[in-house]
Order: sequence, then C-alpha cells, then structure tokens
Amino acid sequence: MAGPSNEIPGRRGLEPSAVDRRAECEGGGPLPGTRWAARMEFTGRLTGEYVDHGDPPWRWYLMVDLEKKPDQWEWKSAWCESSSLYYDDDSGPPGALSGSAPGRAPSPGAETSEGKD
Amino acid sequence: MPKNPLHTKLCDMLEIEFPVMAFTHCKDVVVAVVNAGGFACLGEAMHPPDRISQDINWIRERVGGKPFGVDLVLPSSAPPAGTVDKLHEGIPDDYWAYARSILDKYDVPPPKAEQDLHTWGGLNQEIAREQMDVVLEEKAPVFCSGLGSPHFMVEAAHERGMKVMGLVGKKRQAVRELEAGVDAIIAQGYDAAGHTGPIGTFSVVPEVVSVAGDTPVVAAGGISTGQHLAAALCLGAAGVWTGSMWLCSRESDTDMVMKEKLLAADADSTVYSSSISGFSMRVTRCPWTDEWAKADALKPLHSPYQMLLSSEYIQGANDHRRGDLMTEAAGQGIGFVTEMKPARQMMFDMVEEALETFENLTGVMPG
Repeated sequence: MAGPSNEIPGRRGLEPSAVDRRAECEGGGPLPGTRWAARMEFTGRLTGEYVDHGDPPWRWYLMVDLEKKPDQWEWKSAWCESSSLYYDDDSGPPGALSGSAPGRAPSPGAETSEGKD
Repeated sequence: MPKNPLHTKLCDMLEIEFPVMAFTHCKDVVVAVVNAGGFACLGEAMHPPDRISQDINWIRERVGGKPFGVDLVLPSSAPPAGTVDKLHEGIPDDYWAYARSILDKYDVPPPKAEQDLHTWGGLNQEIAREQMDVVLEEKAPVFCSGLGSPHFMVEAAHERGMKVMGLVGKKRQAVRELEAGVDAIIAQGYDAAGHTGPIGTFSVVPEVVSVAGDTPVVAAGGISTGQHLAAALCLGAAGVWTGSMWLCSRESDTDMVMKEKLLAADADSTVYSSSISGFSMRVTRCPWTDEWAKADALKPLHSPYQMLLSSEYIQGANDHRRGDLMTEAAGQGIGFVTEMKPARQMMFDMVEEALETFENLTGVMPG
C-alpha cells in the first residue's frame, strides 16, 4: 500500500535539520469505530517533510524506511507527531536550529522553509 | 496529629479532598465522583465537538464550580485514510470464514442496527484538533491526553486558566511532557484496560516519579482498592487514576448484563488480545478472544481489518445483551470490584481502606 505522504491536512514544508535523521516514534492513535486507542512504535528515517496542523501548530514529520513498526502496520511510511520522536543522535530536535522549543513546532512566522497548504 | 497521607500535592493543585481520579465515558459518574470529593475525567474521544461542548456544560451545571476534566486521544502517528467498503475488500476469504464459524458456533445474533464502524468516519488529526479546540473554547478545567503528547496546546490551555495532564507508559515520554509544561503526569502500567504500554504499574510509577520533580504523578493501571491507593502513594505517586471500577458503579450507563459480568470477574478474567482491534489490548475474556487464542486459529489481521471482522460479533453481542458473549475493556483491578455501589460510596470505601492500610503499617491512625 502506498505511503501516507499526501494524506494529512495542514501547512507543508521541509525542515532541513530533520532530513535523513534516524528516530524512534512512540506513536499511536484512536481506533476508528471504538473508544479505544493503540500505542504503536516505529523506527526509521525522517525525510524532513513536515505538516503543521492548526494553530498553535501541531507538527508531524514523515518517517520512511521503517525498520520497526507494529505487526499490523502495512504502510511503508508513517507520519509521526514531533513530540513523540526520539533521535538516535543528540543534536537536538529538528527545528532547534531555527529557535523553536524542544518538541514544539516553530511558530508559523519562524518556519525554516516555505510552507504550502 | 499525624499527617493525612491522602492529602497530597494533587489535592492542593486540583482543590480536591481525595487523590482519586476517575476516568469514565459516563458523565453521571463524573458528577458523582467530583461531588464526592474526587476528580473525574470524561472520555470524549468518540464524540463530535458540539457533543463535547454540551457535556462540559452539563457537568459544569452540576458540580458547583469543582474541577473536572475532559480526556481526548491525540494521535501521535498516522496512516492514510480509507473507506470501510475498500477495507472490506482487503480481508481474505479464509478470515471471513473463520469469523463466520465463530458467529455460528456461539449463535451470535446479527447486530440490530448498522454497525458502528460503518457510520464512523475514523479519527485523524483534523478531528482531534476540532475536539481539542472546543475543549479550549469551553475552558474545561482540566484537559487530559489519554494518548499522545499535548505539548502543542499546553500554553493555550494555561492562558485560559486550564490545567493539562498527559498519560504516559514510559519514563522518556514523561520527560517530554514535563518539558512541555504539563501540570501532572499519569503513569499507566500494563495492568490497565485497553491498549497499554509494556511496563507494569509497579515499575513505571516510580520511574516517572524519579524524573517528575514537583509535578504530581498519578498512578494508573490495575488500581481499584484502597490498598492500591496506599501502595501508589508509597511508590511516590500523588494520586491514582482509576477506570474499570467505575463501569460497575450504580451511576454508570454500562449495560447491566455487562456490569454483572464485571462484578463476577477476577484478575484472570482479562486477557491481552489482538483479536478485537488488531492491536493488543486488555479486555474481558469472551468466546471471540478464546477462539482467536487457540493454537490452530488464524493470526489476527492488521488493524483496522480485524476490527471489521470483530465488529459484527461485538455489536451483535451488545445489541442482544448476550452476557455469554459480551466483552469490555477492563484492567486487572476489576477482580476487586464485587458489588455495584453508588460512586460516592465507592470513593469513600477506597479512602477508608487506604487509611486503614496506613494505620496497619504504622500503628497510627492518620489524621
């Protein structure tokens, strides 16, 4: 099945400091049709593509080359919420270079690349 | 007089009498627990924004200014969307046959109405965001994130005078949320109902306490008695987060047949199974979970396919109130809940037992 790269709505952009960084995502989400949720863990490479959803911005990064994913995950990629990512290196979260707080998306005015809807 | 061990920093922060937090999907339970001196959080993940708004105001009118919370599930990873019809096509024939064989074997009646899954469009970031926005707009006293980090809305919540709590299953998740400025951390162990983290309550609570500093940590997972409450406080928690026990309260809108099943359950009556949703979750055992656990059973499908398979069983069982078939998400602490009582009485019993436990340990009646 194709990856979810064009599925989530929001302001899109590319964060240079996230490109090719390896990370773990402690993800999860609600299960449609139920009042339950599931935890899901991923390991892979960030492309640097992001989506900022809403205001204040809720940032999501695209992870590909998934080395670890839930048995049930059939897609080749996953969108990972920025604060649920843990990086293999210790150079700080993406966006730190542009002045955003750890785990938070930069404010719309401080985006590191051209965002597009 | 010795210090009252049940008066914790969580009590001070929330201005509550007892350090007991209830998670429930029933707003009557929220009102009863809050008015009994505890704190309660209403699970609203399944509801649209206008319903959430109505519920907040309904509760507000009945608790006299006391604080309460709204719990949402924030997605933290996301797959593409899909339609139910399209998903149906992805289920292999042998799985349909296996599911059919279970329905036939146990004489599971068909659902009375269209299955819920077919009328629900699925939750994604956009829906979660809309839910969150209404919680901010209504200035619910407390926002609890049942899954996923609430980091992006902490500031907005604080500006509105709200408090924010995050539920975590690991220490490093707690560190992240503390950095984001949450007001309390709920550390949930494997004993809990539903989809939990892999670490047990007795390990995850002190781990999170070790990094939380002055921020209150609330213990969750398998907690349903005063002894559990006392133990959680001994682990360094400032309170407990309870869920399954309230399903059995008199005020709960849980079906009476299911309540009776829960009251008869013991800790071994729950099972960690992926046969319901495709992801492992703790539920009460039922024929469906038993059949999928057999050595010759098919391996449960991916989510959401497995949910499509299980939905006919679950809804058929619920619609026809078949106690022999029904299942519910419940934690291991459900085994200690043996009587249906008013929520107020459940709260007082828990508090009294906790105080007795401390007295037995110290020989001194706490003040």
